[in-house]
Amino acid sequence: MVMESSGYGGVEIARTASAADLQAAYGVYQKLYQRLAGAVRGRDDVIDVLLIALLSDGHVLLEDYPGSGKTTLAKALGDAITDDRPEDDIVAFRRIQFTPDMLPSDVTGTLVFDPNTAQFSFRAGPIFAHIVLADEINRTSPKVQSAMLEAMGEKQVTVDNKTRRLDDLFFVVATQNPLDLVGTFPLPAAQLDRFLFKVRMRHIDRTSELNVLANVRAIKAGVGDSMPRVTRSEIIRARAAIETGIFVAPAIHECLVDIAGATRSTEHILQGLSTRALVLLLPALQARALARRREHVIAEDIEALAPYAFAHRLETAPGVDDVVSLVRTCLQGPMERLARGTMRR
Amino acid sequence: MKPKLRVGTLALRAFSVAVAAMCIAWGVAPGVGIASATIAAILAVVIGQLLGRTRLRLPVLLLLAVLLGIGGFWIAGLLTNYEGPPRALGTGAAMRLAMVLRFGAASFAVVAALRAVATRRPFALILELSAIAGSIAYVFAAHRDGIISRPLWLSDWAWERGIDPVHVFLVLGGAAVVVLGLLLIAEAEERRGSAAAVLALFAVLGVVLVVLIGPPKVDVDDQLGLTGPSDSASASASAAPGPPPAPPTSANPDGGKEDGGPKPQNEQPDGGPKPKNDKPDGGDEQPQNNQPDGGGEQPQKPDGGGESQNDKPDGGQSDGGQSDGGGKDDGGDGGGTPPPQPASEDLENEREESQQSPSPMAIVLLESDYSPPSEVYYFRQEAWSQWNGTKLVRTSRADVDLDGLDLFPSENTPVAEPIDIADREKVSAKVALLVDHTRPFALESPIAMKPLRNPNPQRFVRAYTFESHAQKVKYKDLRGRKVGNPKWSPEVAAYYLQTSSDPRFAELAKQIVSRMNPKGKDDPFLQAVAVKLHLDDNFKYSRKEKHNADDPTADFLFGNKIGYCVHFAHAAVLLWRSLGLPSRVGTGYAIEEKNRQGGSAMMIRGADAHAWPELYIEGVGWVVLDITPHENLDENPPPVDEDLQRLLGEMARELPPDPAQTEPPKERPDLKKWLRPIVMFLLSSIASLIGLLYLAKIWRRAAPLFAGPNELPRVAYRTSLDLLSEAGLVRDRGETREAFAKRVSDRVPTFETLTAMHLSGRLGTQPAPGEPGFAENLGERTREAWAAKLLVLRTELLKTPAWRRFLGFLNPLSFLRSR
Repeated sequence: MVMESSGYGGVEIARTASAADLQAAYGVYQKLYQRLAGAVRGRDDVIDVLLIALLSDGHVLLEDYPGSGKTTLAKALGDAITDDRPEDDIVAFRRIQFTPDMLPSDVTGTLVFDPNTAQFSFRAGPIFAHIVLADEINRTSPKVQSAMLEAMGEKQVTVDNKTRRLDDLFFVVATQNPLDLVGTFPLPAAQLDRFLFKVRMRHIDRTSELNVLANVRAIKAGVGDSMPRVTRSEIIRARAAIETGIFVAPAIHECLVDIAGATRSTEHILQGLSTRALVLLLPALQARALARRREHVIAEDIEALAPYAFAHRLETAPGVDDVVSLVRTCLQGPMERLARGTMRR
Repeated sequence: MKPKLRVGTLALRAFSVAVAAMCIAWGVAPGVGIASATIAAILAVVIGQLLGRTRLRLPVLLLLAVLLGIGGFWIAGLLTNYEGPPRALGTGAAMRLAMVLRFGAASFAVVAALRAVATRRPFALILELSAIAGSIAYVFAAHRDGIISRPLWLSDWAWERGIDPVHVFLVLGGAAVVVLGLLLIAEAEERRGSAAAVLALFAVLGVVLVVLIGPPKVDVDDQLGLTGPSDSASASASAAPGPPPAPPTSANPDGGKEDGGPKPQNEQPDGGPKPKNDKPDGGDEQPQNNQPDGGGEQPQKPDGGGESQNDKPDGGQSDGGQSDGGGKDDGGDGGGTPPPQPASEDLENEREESQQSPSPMAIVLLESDYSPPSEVYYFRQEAWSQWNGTKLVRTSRADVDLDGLDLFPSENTPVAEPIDIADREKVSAKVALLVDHTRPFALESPIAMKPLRNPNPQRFVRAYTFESHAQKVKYKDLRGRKVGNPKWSPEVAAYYLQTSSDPRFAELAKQIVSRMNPKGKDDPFLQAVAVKLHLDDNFKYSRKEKHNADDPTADFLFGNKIGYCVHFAHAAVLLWRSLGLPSRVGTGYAIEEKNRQGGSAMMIRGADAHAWPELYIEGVGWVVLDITPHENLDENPPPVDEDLQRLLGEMARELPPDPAQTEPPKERPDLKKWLRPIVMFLLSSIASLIGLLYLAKIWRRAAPLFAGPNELPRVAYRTSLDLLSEAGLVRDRGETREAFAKRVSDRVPTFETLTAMHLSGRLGTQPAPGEPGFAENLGERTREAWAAKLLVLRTELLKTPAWRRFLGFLNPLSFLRSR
């Protein structure tokens, strides 16, 4: 079995990020942000979270209504990334519209018989892309969902007993409609856990909506080449720079563990945070610090990302509806400890 | 979401509810009832709390409580209303069981209902707490205005141990406030600590106030609220049945309300020529109802004298050589010299309006269990035996009526001529006077009197003991005895027979005797009884009837036949005398035996002043044969206040420390003595604590000047936090530093930079010197940089109001809030 790539997807990176590496990573973030903000109006917070997930190698589940711009957002993201390795047949962006009658091979790809060579050859599915938009992921059967799960968790797919590696920049933006639940297969907890963030999008505010209407044509035309794109390698390099270059103080670690403890000891939560949730959150915190031009993670990063990162991982007791405010309640104590800790000798 | 069940709060609440239930039950229930109510209340708190946490609906809970209460009463009714249960259990047990059920059910139902509602609806907490507070306050409500006698069970307990009940009440009240406050705090989850601190501060303040100012003092003139408002005047209404001054409403129609009007009119017959020009003025000018010095007699004299055409000068205001009848000064020695004169004023006016006052005048403690045959204790203060042509007055002779004392004893003083007859019972008693009297009184026929140290100078004005030969012979055994004393000189015997010159008296007396059963016609005592019965049957009692005629007794006897005790006594004596029975009028206080309530203490009230006829029976002495008219036109005086009687008895019984005794008096726990050092300690420790706080504040402010570079992010940032705290800007609990900085950024923008500097110093890595960092450049991190930023911060803070800055500057605790 041949691994198609190794290390950081064949991109050479420095072991310890220098200030210049961090500067480059910040540049990646900025370029992407500008392109997305130009494509989608009034969604700055979602764009921020999306980019943080992208830079910290996590996947995002968007929960919103049809027509709220999620496809536009994902397409713009795919459009913003240029493939600097055309030799592999992995495209920049693919969209999978999930339906109940789908089969796993519709996602992963399948073996096709070639009469010329009288051999089976692998035809890659839509999942072989840098950015994958998994639309209405809860509409498909658990079989397909679990195929996605493997792909997202391991960055690989197995077809005909052969494991094939996905691209290093494999980034899934899944969506689901929170209201229209007839004929759906709600994602099980294990599947939800594969998503770094679950973002509940609210309707954009009035001025942003007016802005959208006023600039319909410009938005339709897309950002195009007016703004610089980033390459796949740049993103992968940025991920590495963030991981090594942004400092996470032990106090932040303690705070994260305290938060997990708080969620485990609250009687309103049946199952608290897993250790994996904390592990996944660390690079996201670093990415957010980078996005704010900081070299270290601070409490604000935790406070900002915790609702996105934790709300969908908690199994609440019956009768508790507002998970986000519950998460905020669990944050209180650890945040206070962290704040006091910075004044300690 | 269910709140946690807090055992400590529950216990505190159960305790306070139990105390409240006990307070309520104390007055109305015997021991088992109190115990039942208390235990039921404790159970009800726990059960009510638990029920409140179930999913049962509130109306169901309330219905349960009501049903339980009704059920308890119903079962209690079953136990007592039917024959079966008492027969099976025994009557006493059934009654007790019923009592336990009633009190338990009532207490349980109320408490459980309140508790259950309070667990569901926070506002009901107020109901519950006010129910507790109300029932505790109810017990001590009688204590208001400094009346320390209520509640008796507590004040008695305190008195017995030599503690001033005021202190006990203060402590109890304070404790109740603290407990209720704690309960209230326990309900508020947040800020419990600071609220408790405020409560503690108030408690300390209260203690300081009590120690420095002292507990609320009762004005001694106020008589502790024991006596009515008119007492200071009636106190000096010393002589005889001292008539308390008239309240204006019931004053004589021609009384001394107006100075000019009545006076000339009244004094014309006798007052004019008398050399008493100055005194009457004074007497008249003073309002009649609060005569401070003259006593009750004087204000009434002008009109009394005028109406009765008295040919004698008024005794009370006499000057010069005239002996003062009612006065305090020379009653004793002046007896022999002056011409016959009325000891007191006309009988018409003596006691009009006087007997209304129910306020206590004195307390008598019997030292032996003596029960008078007449069932009335007669405390004689004076005897009136001399006929002055109009009425009976105190004698001017030196050889009669020697069975009393004119002055308070200053040592053991025997009575000049005691009725010393073996057929009488020796009774001794203590007397403590609440208001001053001009002469002592004693149970009829005293032997000796002795002064006593005042047991409680704050409450009593004087105390003494007397020893009397009290009547033992039953009235029926007085039949067949002779009257008069064979030892008397004929002069004296005749003296006790002086009577009116009006022939109608003798006629009436003869008429009465003639109607008697022939068997007893010649028995002197039976004759006297016949006269008494005649007066009892045919005459009516009313204090309002004045009989302001020339001869008031005749006016009473042959007029409308309505009068009060003085009229009755005079009528009886004059009739007896015309029958040849030596007799006189005794005045003082008459207390019915039943008022004693079986105790040894007897409270004498102003309303108990009385006059009664006495006749002398050979071998027995002076015997009181009181007239008790069947018909009373007046309202009866209010019943004796038993609690007050008992309390005054206790106070009179208490012996004062004897200074002559070498033994040190029993130490009274002096609150001030041991509280003062505690308070001083508290105050000084508070002062030093404040001093320390200021020192800490100053140090924290100056610390950035001395801190090393590694400490600067912490120390300098701390200074900025202190500055913000003084301006009232404090980080909330759970708020991140960044969020706080953002929140206050429109007032102090520099603080955001300071926070970033602090966080990068504490959570970030040290930037390598010289190498340009990736991070947003925060500038140099030197001490000077910090100081410059702090300076900017200070200038930004100048925008806060000056008073805020000043208060923050003074506040020694401001830095404790910066975090």
